[in-house]
Amino acid sequence: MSVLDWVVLFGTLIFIVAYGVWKTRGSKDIDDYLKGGNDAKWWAIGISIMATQASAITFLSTPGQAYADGMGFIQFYFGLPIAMIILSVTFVPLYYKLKVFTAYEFLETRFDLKTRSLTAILFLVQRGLAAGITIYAPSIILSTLLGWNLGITNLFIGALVIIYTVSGGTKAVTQTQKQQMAVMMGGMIIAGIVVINLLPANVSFSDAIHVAGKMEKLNLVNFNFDLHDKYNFWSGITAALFLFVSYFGTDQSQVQRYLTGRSVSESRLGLMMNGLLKIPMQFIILFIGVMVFVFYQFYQPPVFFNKVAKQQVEESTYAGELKQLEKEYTTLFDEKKEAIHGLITAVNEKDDVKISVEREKVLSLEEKSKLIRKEVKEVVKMANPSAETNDKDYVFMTFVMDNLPIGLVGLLFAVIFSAAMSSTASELNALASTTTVDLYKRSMRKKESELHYVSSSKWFTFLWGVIAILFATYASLFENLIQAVNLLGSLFYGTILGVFVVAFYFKYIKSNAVFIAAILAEIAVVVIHILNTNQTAPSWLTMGYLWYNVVGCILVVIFGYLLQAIGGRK
Amino acid sequence: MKEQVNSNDNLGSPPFFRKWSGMYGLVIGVLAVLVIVFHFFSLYFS
Repeated sequence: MSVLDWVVLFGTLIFIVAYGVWKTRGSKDIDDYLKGGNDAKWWAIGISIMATQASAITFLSTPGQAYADGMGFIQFYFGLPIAMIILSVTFVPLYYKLKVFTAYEFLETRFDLKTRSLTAILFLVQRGLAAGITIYAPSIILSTLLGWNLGITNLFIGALVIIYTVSGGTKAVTQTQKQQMAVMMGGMIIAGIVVINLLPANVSFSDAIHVAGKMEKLNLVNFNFDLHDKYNFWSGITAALFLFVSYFGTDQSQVQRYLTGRSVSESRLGLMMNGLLKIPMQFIILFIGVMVFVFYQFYQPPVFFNKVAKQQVEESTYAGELKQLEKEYTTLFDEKKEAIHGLITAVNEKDDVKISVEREKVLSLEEKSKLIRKEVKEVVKMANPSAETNDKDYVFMTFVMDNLPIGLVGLLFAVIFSAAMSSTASELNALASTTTVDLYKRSMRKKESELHYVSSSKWFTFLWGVIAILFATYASLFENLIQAVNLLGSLFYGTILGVFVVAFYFKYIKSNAVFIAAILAEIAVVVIHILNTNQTAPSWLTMGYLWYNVVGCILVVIFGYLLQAIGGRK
Repeated sequence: MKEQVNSNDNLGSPPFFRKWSGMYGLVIGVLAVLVIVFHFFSLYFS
């Protein structure tokens, strides 16, 4: 990167941190520190909700996913607007009425302390691990791209977040997320405009979309119902709906965002804003990934996008094999490029027969290119058995570094760092709130001064930040950890949501029944997951992990009902 | 319960947004339009 890029990158990040600290200094009581004094406006809440959900992986992986598999991932978000409405009608008014600091506080009012503590602890375990991964996942990619040490990259992201989150609490999180969101969306839109402008002069924007469509990258909606298919219309509006109701309604990192509102209306409007803008935002990010794909149909892409892993092969005894594969890849690329120009001509001539012939030719060459890439990945694995062969996450930033003008490269790195910081800040803030309010203040030190609780919240924020950095630093030592932690959400969210659903809609079910039902449901979900992982599940139990959210929730309700019927009054 | 909460909810939003059913209808409507547009967009260019 050039000096200007470094100035843009560090200038942006330091400005956001310094402004956040300065603007939100001096919290006097816990209400101010953990709920931001309840003065956030709806648009600030909406931005904060969106920035919390958009992690660095959103901006690294999503374009790469579109590059490899097309835009079908957007269907995952179809349940989100419906989830926002459900939350606005049910959860939000109740949280405001009870004036809670955390989602789990409500469960003590409805059930008892042990149910509140159980859900709070489930949240702390799951989100505590996830906070480490929120730092680690982008760090491993950024450190490779920038040539930084992984530990230093973890520390850099973690320390910046700790500075302003400890200093200003929830207000600082909300304040900085406004600037971070502006950087993220501004940077991505500029990148999108640049990639379209970088297409060859004889390829129009319309041609580019036709190429993407004919090469099966615009597969936005699939109405075929298939439980094994992760992303289709039906899983989006059902299974993902459960995930989103659970995530936005019971995960403190999101609940805390809309509890900062001035009123129920402000919080509802914030959620509605998220419901309206999230799908278009994901569309933009995925579409940029597709345009990067089209760009690489005219300018040869690297055969493997992780340059460091590729360099390791070049320095190994497998260098000859890699060189041979690269040669074949180049030959295929030239043939495919010619075929794509033929396809564009056919499309412009509106000759359906010719379009069909050219399309088949392009798709067949694309398949051959994929096979070569598969062979390259095998070579990478042979040269270094511990190397990660999935290079999707490197596609977008490789494009940025190789093709964007000076200054914009720094801005795009600022986008990724900002995204990592915005979601980590919300997580640390929520972990500290839950630790302080649900455990420390409720069960350990009940009658201390406001200043004491502000001070302890700051210490807990710092502590969770350090844990997240440490976890990120040692994450690479554990095999399959990232996959495990990604799954963790779906493993726990269904059960937690089930407890809340019972609390809202099944007055008949009381505390002991729901507590035991939650434990039984959690065991059942874990067993289903193990059966699916080992591929020993009977066909009626075979499902994608998104469906665990539905199963967990329904099981809590059924078990709770049965236990209440058997067990009697309490 | 909902009425009680709304009675405390006296800080500024435009009148249109106070009619929540309209707002929810708008969100669902936008979702439906997006799904339809996406579907035909995919079909047209495939």
